[in-house]
Amino acid sequence: MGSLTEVTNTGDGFMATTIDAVVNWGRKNSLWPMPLGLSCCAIEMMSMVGPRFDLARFGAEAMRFSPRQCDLMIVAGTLTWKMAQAARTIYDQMPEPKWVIAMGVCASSGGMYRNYSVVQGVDLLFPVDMYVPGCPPRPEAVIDAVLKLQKRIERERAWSTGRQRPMPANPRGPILARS
Amino acid sequence: MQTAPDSPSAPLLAALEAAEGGALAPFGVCVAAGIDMPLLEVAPQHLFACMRALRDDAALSFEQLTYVTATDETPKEPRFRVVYHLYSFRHGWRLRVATSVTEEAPNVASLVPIYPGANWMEREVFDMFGITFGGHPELRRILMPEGYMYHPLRKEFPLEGIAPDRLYREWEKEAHAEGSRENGGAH
Repeated sequence: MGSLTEVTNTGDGFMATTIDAVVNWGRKNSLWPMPLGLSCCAIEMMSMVGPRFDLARFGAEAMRFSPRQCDLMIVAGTLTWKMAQAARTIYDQMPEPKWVIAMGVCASSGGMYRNYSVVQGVDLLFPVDMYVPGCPPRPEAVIDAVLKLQKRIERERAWSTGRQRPMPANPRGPILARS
Repeated sequence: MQTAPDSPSAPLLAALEAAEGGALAPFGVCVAAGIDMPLLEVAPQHLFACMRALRDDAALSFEQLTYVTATDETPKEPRFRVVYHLYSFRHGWRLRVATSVTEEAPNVASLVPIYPGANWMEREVFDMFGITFGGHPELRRILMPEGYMYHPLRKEFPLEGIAPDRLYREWEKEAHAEGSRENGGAH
């Protein structure tokens, strides 16, 4: 593993690097987000993509509304149990490799909605790579999460079999048992 | 019914009093002045016919069912009260109708044949309280996921909620199938 900064330039018109470095460089600089905009966080997510904050500077502006074209799911907002099955289906439809950002406290932990209708953190349903606190978070905070995720992608194995991260265990019984 | 003659609900109370001897006579209703609007109590077996009379009687003509909800009156008996809010466009009146059902037989007649707008509101009451509505065309959950085992607005339900386990069972099955596929290593 390594990054393109570790490229060995021999000065003879070619370079030596690793497959991991080249593939990860491509992946991290062309994240295609799946905007799972569920509530008010989605508004901040839109401004993050817009010209003022401009996520395009980091190569992640190609929002696609088909999960099959995406590799970064941004869960922006309050996920209810009614919606949970749909969110999990969307996650399953995204091709590997895929990453998830839980944007805002509702997606991260249920937030202030400690009640019967809200999923107490989307990591009950699928693995989450970055948690962004805030209600809603500033666009800069989410951009920071994207940048941190890019750093993580840089260090990943480009080829691996099966899921890279384990799916969450089955949390039976009351949600309370989780804390 | 003690209410000031200049109260905004005085004409409605007078009309209800007149109807108690007429259109509403068979149902044994009990009318109270209420705080914000008059309250009409009726036994669950008379609810359907009483509602039809409230809608069709020209002196009352409550054309719209604004809302259907319920309350859990634990530990009182009977336990549940199903509450209906009516509005009369002709007179500009609002009326609350309440009926009490027991925990053992939480069942009232569906008002969908009279007020089609009752459909989703009765589904919500069923979802949240487990009160069934006889004759409802499609009585299934509306807000909680299908197959959820609890009724969240009942008093014994914990405030922090209970995660549905049916979804998890399905996902567990999926994960199991996926695991065996991965072990095969065909892809």
